[in-house]
Amino acid sequence: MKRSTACKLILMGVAPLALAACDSKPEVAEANYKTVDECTTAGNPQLECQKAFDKAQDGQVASAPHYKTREDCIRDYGEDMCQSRVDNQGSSFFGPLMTGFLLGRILQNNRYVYVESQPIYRTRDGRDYQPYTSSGGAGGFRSSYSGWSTGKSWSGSGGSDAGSHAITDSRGGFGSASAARGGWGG
Amino acid sequence: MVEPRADWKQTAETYGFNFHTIHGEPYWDETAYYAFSLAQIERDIEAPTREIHEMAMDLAGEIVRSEALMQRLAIPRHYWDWIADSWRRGQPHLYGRMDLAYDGTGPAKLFELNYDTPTSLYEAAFYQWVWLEQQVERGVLPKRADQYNSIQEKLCEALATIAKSLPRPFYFSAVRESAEDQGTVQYLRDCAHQVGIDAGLIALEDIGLSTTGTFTDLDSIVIGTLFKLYPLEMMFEDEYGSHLPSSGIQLIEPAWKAVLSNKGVLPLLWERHQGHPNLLPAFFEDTPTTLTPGWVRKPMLSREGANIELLTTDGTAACTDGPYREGPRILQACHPLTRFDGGYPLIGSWVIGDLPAGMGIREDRSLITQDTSRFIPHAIVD
Repeated sequence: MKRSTACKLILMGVAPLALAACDSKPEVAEANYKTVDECTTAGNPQLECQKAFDKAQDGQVASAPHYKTREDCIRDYGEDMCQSRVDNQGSSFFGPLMTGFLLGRILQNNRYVYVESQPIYRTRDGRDYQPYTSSGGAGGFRSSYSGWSTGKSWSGSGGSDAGSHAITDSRGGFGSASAARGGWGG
Repeated sequence: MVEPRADWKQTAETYGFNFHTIHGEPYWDETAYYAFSLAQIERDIEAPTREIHEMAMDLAGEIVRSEALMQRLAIPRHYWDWIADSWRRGQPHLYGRMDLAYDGTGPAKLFELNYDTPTSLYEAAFYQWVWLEQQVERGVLPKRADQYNSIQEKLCEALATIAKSLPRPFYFSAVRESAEDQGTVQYLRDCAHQVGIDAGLIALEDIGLSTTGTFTDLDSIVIGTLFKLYPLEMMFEDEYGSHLPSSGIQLIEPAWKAVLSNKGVLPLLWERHQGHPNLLPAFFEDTPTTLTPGWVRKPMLSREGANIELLTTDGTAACTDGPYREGPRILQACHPLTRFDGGYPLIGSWVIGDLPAGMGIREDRSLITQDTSRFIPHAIVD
């Protein structure tokens, strides 16, 4: 016999498939502060404010926007706001100085749990950029995010991270070549 | 001509075949079927498919080791090392489809390889099979009728074999808005599920890029393996394309398929196997050729019969428009399809893993088979 002895479908045709989605994320509230003092003055525990500040500062190599040249960075963040950094792979890049940090909190069993925090960078036109959201989604400007322009280059970390949690910087960078041509096939 | 099953549309929808009608015309067309003998299938389709596949794989190994050939195929330099590395590591591939011109006599002729994003999988592997079973059951076809189609069986086997080595999580992905592509990845995921592989679905547009250059799912988990029903060369052009080599993601089809999904392999195959009965003479457009008068001009990177120009020996001209207006082209000797009652059939011969596995026939009213061509089932009747 030249054909399959049996063919069946288990998932198809029974019910429409839902695309994998993340709808069970806990609600995270977040606020941004320029300094630890500002954070505690707002009523947050001193310890949590300090931890959030430290973590944001430490995370900058990974989370700061990466620019190939100082000029590219200055164009977005202004004079005196850009410094040279070295990433974990030893490549250098230019990134803006942190101008604030985010503190996130989740209400659990009637008490607040403070969660991962991140730096905030103020652009030369006065908008606050955050690399990602506390719920792990794509980051952006705290107000109107319009996406990054040229000059940015993230450094790759290579192979072994599959399955681990990452900080998503953006989405939507695949699929446009097809859209531009009105589809493809083969 | 045969009477279509009265319930064919409902049957299609029951089985999740939601793209049976395209642009208001039936895409699945069972008003007729093509009948073959077993000898025709085994001698003229299956054996040449095996042989052409082996030639193609040898050629792939040669191309990835040669910067000159990668350049010849207009593959962007940024991806050369990544492509070569995916070959060296033996990153597994799942499938491919070669298009063969065959009218029942003489050697089938290779029109092209669709080795990265072959379409019409579900209808060839599954729905065509259902059609045969039902037509035999209903007495329309004789009990001994068979079909050259163990595609699904081999797909499941191939998935089970390669799954062990694939980094997780494993996702199937296609462009969100394409009903046909979404149907195909759902089908593949179904096959994976049947052999115990847990895999997700994600729209290509939903894939995220992390701050460390890895690709993430909607939960910001780094994707290990991505089956993408989307051309590699379009990924290269996309905004995230340049991150592919350093992202660590494993693709199916793997990066090295970029060298076989390119029509530049047609002249390269001809150079290496000149005179092979299943190959048509082919040349890069920028090399002097001896091709006279019948030729076909194809962009190196194009799909679904787009931007093809054709001039037969008797002066019949045909061409198709499409989005691939730029880029290098190849010339292939014209071998016009034979006209049958319904139109011009072209055989899509499937290779799953490395095995010839079955075929699907698409028929067009014109000499150039396109995405709107109809799918016609086939049967082996003696």
